[in-house]
Amino acid sequence: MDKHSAKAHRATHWLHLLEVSAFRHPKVILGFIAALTVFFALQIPAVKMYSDFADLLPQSHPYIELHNRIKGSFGGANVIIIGVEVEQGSIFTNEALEKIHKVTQAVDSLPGVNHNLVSSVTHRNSRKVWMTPEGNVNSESYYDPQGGEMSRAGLAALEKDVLADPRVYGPLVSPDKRMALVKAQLVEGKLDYVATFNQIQQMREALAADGFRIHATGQPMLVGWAYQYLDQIIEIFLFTALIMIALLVFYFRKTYGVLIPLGGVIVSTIWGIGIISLFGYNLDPLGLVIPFLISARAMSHGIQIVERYYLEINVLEQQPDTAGASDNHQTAARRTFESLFRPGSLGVVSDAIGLLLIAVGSIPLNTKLAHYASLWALSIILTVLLAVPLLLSVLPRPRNTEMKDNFFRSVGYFCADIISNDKRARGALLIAAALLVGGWYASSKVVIGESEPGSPILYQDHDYNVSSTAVNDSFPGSEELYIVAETAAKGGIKRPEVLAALADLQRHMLLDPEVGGAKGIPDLIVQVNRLLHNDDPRWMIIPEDDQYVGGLMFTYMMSNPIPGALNEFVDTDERMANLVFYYKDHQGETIRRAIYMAKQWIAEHGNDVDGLSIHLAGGTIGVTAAMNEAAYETNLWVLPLVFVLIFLFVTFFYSSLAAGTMMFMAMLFATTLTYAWMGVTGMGININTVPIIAVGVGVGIDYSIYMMDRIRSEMVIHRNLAAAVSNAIRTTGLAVSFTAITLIAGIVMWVILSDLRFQADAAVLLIVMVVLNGAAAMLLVPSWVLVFKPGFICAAYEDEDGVIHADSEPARPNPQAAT
Amino acid sequence: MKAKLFRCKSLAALPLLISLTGCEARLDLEGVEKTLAEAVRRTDQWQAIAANDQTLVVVGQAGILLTAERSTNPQWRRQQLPTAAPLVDVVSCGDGWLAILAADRTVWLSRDNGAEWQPHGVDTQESLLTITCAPDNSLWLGGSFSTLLNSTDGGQQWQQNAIGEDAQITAIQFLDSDIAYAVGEFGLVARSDDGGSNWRVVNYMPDEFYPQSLWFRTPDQGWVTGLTGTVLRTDDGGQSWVTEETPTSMPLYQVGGISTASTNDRYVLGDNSTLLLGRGQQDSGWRFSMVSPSPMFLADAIQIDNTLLVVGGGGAIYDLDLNTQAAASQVTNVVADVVAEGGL
Repeated sequence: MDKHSAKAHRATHWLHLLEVSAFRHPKVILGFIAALTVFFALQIPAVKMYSDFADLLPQSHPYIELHNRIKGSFGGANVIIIGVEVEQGSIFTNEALEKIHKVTQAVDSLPGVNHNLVSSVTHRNSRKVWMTPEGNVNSESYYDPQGGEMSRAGLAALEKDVLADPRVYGPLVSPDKRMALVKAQLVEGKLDYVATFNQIQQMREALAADGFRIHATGQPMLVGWAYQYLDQIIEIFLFTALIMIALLVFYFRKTYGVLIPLGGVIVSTIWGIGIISLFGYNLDPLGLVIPFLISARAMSHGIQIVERYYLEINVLEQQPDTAGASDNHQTAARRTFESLFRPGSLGVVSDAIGLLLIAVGSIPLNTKLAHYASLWALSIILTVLLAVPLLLSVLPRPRNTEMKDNFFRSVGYFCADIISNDKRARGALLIAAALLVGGWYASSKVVIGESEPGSPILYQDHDYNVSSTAVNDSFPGSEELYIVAETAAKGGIKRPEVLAALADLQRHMLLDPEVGGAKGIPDLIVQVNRLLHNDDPRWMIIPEDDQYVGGLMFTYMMSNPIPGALNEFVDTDERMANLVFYYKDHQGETIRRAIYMAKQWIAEHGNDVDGLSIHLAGGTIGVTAAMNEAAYETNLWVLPLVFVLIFLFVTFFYSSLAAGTMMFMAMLFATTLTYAWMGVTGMGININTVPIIAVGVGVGIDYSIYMMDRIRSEMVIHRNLAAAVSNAIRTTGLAVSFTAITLIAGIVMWVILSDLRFQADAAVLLIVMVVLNGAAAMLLVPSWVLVFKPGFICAAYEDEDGVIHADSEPARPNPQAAT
Repeated sequence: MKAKLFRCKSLAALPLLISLTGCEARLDLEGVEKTLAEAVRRTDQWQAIAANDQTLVVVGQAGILLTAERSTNPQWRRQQLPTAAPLVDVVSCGDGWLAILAADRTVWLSRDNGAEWQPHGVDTQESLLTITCAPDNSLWLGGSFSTLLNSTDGGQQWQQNAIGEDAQITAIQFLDSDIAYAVGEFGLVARSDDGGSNWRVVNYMPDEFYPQSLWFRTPDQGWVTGLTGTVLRTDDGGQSWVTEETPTSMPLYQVGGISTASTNDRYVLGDNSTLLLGRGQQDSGWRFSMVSPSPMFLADAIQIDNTLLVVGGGGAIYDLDLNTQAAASQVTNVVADVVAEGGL
């Protein structure tokens, strides 16, 4: 035995002594766990369940920092957009204009609305501005609500005027003249999502009429919809509980079998929610899939322990020297603990690694989730892996210990038949390699961000997304990207060279045909300049000095009937300016291109003008870009970290590089195919999916660890690799398939019942990962062992404590024995 | 040895993992590349068009211009002058020279049909708005404070010509080697009878009318256009003006003559894609020539054979078949129909 192996023996012997002493005082330890459970239970009432949408934003991302800086001046992402659509004809009828006006009034009276940033064709700030032959600038509202019914000629004149105004025709009236938009900025801090949502929905109901459609979209509506589904969580919880109990009854049909795993889940959940309370966090409905998964994980561990307990009792009863012994149930509980505590703990630690590493990203929702969920997962070691065997050792021996065969066992038999010899194992590895190559190619199609328009939080056919689609189809773009220009000195925006640079940036951005339009101070200056020069287009030029520019800005301000007319273009110091670009959607591809184009201009011309700096990016596109970039960067770090840490843990735990490598390859296979599935189905990498992948890797690798551990145990018994592998697949197949079903059952209700796509997508992705990891464990790990014959398995032996070892310099396995 | 090989294999999986996590679909820039390959873009704001015997030139904002072989169906080539200054006017001279006026008081000249352009600065502080070429190939510029400048040496030197008024000159037209008209702010009408050597104020248009453009068919009969759909006509060399009725209230930016077998002989261009055609010796009615495809301004036009090439904002370049428009005029080629949002 070398030095390293000697150390390993000492360590496992110490752990064995700890295990033995634990079973000497089971009631003390159980009492301690019960006391802690009571302590955590007392913390639960302080936990609140709500969504804080600021938690979805990566607050340290420069785009979000900019968003937070400018949302007070240029507006943020809290834009509400109501589309009034006529089914036939145009909006230039008395009936339609009256309806648009009523919607405008309703929006103007929303709680927290910025009255100066309400825009609609019928609003007082939508005005016809013209130059009289005498050289005066005149303006009047397009629509006069006090003016009574308009004549046909009046309507025609109104239509003509609106069509000549590019600030109204296009942004507020659709090019096909069938839809008008009412837009408003809601002030963050004064915004009441629920009241806003309710008022808008009541208005939609009140104004519903044949021939009209009223669409409502924008971030406040989205949040309002999300709040509508809080009650659904209870429904999902109840259905999930019913499924879990049904599974337990189907599998065990025994009191212990049903109550003990269920008790484990309840205790673990109390600990988990108590931990949330101690952190001072809220339980976010958008992140509930992971807690459900942890609970399902706790239950699957409980099931494995109880199942193994029954198995051990039956083994003891069949052995002549122990048959009929009164303490068989205690021995069985201890043996169960000895068999399952180590691989179970390793599995839980790998789950916790996946969960903890979610915190690497900058999304607060995920950081909070990482903190409490990793501790919650680790608590399973005490609440289930330790407590359940101890509880079984102190409970009376069950009367009926017979375990019946069921469907799940046949999964193992089927897989064992597939991987029955070296040749088939090589074939399986070759197929896996081919799948890996194909999967790698398909994964290159994965989109960062959303692959579909609308909100990823809701389904495509949801009222919100239907409204968004209708608005996006009718207008060049309801999704806004803000690019902010900042100058060093007060009034710097008025400098001609600054304005020329911004105009160039606008032209550059408009090279992308997906950009519906742009709005910014350079356009305003050249248009006012033109207007003041008798509307002559030759005067569409930026003046040569900043005082002249200031004069044009002043003229524009004075021609406007409401204060703060320039607020949407420049700040009050005229040091910052906001350039707005309109996009049809916020799909990942659209956003990447938008940011790419902006960065390209900044790289080429960003330093051309002294004192001018260009900052990305605000508006819905900027905020979503930040979330996507955060997701991408998190993905870049988290997944390799999960892989490396699990690799190191497995390598350390089994004192074998081969063990680590085998698990690494199993994770790589399942993860590559998961990415391929995302690429094929169009699921994007976003703040929802990145943590799920990390968690999925951590949870999924458990199966492979169980399989590897079981092959090793079987090798110690049989000393024949083929037999060890076959036995391991047959026995572990039951555990893997049933655990997978348990996990899927724990989260499947989110797919079936949840109206929030955010949660359903997370659940679907986890299910895919569970299935792929199950396949890797059942087919690839045995194949790998058969083909590569790793020493830590082939040279494994049991020491005096019953702990399996394989020395780091193993004796060469006997090929005869190995085959 | 085997153990070392095994370690190498395990390390080889790391790049695969990193490439997997770093993977994303290729950024689709096809639309951008297509736009870059196009000569005409929606952000273009064309101000003027001119042609010599061989070449057509269109000028617009930020030093951008188009050139093409003279044709009714031109294949445009996009050029960027080494300036970001807006180009406000272009003219061709009888000797084949092409001259562009930039807003930064630079005249760009080309003697090789637009292949190369030479800048010539103009020593003035006034804003220059119009450029024209006299029959003797001298260049003329009009601008603020009644600035009238001319150069007989290809833009090397510029001479000041006094009118003695404080008005923005908006248009100049040479009818022959002697007679020329210039119009401007406050209804100014100035005339030269000696090829530009001396200018005199003929009269002022009513209500200090601001003329955006000028076209004299004969030394006596001419038209000017301006705000609110106004077209004024003179039949006495600018002494008096009458208002012609038009079916639009849009500002009108250009007036010009056309010669075809049809009865139409002049056109007017304006905002919101307004294109009016008129005919006859006197006011016999202006009528819309096409349905507005999008709300953009039309700034200038030129007749090539039986086609009127019209340019304007939003990258608009229309070709209007003058043979068929009498019955039902139509836009046969809309280059771009989306205009960037903004402005008043």
